[in-house]
Amino acid sequence: MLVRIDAESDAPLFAQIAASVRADAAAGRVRPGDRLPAARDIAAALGVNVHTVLHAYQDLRNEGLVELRRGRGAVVTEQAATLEDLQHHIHDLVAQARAAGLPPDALAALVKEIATHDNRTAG
Amino acid sequence: MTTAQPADRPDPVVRRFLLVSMGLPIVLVGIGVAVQLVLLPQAPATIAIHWNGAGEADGFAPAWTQPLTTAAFGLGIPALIALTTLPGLRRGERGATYRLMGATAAATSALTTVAFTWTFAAQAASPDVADPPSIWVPLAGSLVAAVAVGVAAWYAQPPQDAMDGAVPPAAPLALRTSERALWVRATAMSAGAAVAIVAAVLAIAVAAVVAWMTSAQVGLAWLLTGVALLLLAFAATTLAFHVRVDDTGLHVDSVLGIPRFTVPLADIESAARVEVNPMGEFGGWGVRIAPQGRRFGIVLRAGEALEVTRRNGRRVTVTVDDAATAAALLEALVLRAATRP
Repeated sequence: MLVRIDAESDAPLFAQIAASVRADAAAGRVRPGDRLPAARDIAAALGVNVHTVLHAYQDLRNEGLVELRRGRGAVVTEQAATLEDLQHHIHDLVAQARAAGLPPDALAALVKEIATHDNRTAG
Repeated sequence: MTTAQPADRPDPVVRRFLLVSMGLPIVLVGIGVAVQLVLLPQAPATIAIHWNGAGEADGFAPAWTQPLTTAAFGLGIPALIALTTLPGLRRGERGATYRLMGATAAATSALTTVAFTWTFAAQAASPDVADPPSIWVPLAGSLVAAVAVGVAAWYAQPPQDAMDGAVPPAAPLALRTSERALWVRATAMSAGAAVAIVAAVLAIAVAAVVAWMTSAQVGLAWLLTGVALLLLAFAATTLAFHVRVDDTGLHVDSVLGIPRFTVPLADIESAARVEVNPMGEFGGWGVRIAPQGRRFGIVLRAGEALEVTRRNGRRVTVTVDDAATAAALLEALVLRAATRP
């Protein structure tokens, strides 16, 4: 599992840690059933407060990527496999856009626009 | 299997290995057993088969068991060595260890066959059961024979270069100066290896319990208990490790806490993802120093591994998945430490 945080980033540290774990799941570095390292170990290695890591784990639990079990810590759910599948689609999409000469920013904006639009119609 | 060798003509390394590890023992045991069978009519009905540390005979058995024991040890041990070594050789793995295993198989066979045959012949020549001839001369003779056969078997096999080519360091991960990063991963022995190790430890533990219950010999019971506990400790501490890369360097800790291995970032020259062939490169599995030296390994399985080269040229290798990410992060951290004032 690769976790990276940037003190100069605008995003809060807990959100950066959660984003790292999400990216790990998408890259297949963490798989369903894997146990994430103890929050205090990550906190010690990154030099952040343990509550910052716990905050990230809570957010990941709320979105369904991990389950928090007393005594067993944070265990990765099946959602990791979904993220990994999605990663393949995203790679295909990026390759197609690149072949057609579409800039990455334009692709990202388009994906975000459509996803937001879908959310509105669903909600 | 991946190499396209015709089935009827295996490559010379495997052929020579089979020749020294199985062919040679068959010839040696054949001669030894033949000599014993010729001498059997002259030998006493009961012969000494075991000697204590002072060189006095303390174990006896019927004479006819000696040829059987000779065949069992002289062929059995080499067969065991050959069977555990051949799969790797057949896969195309190479290394000095494989050559050494072939020589060891031949030498072990020579040792047991010469020792059994010599002591048998000496007792057949002076059939005084109460005072069997000294063990020291046959013992020394069989050791000399074992060394001679071992050296001959080593040179009878072609040299094997371990597949240990220089691997280029990983491309560093893009890491900003304000960023902190951490890579962690658990690594463990394969389930099969773990089961085999646990079974071996259990077998000795059972032997220890049996020794206590039958109160055969208190010394033996203590010895078995000690060995069982020692093996249990070794097994428990080397079955699984946590591997961690952060801005202090590389840390490999047993899941039980000890042993722990650390390579400080300041000592690291480069990092790479490599493929490890445990037998060929390290002579087996576990926490190891490669026979060629200057390379330390925590080798729990074959395949993907993180390899760190220290500034003094020594290397540390850990078998772990996703080693490419770990190597890329280490490269980035080393690069950043070097450019930082």
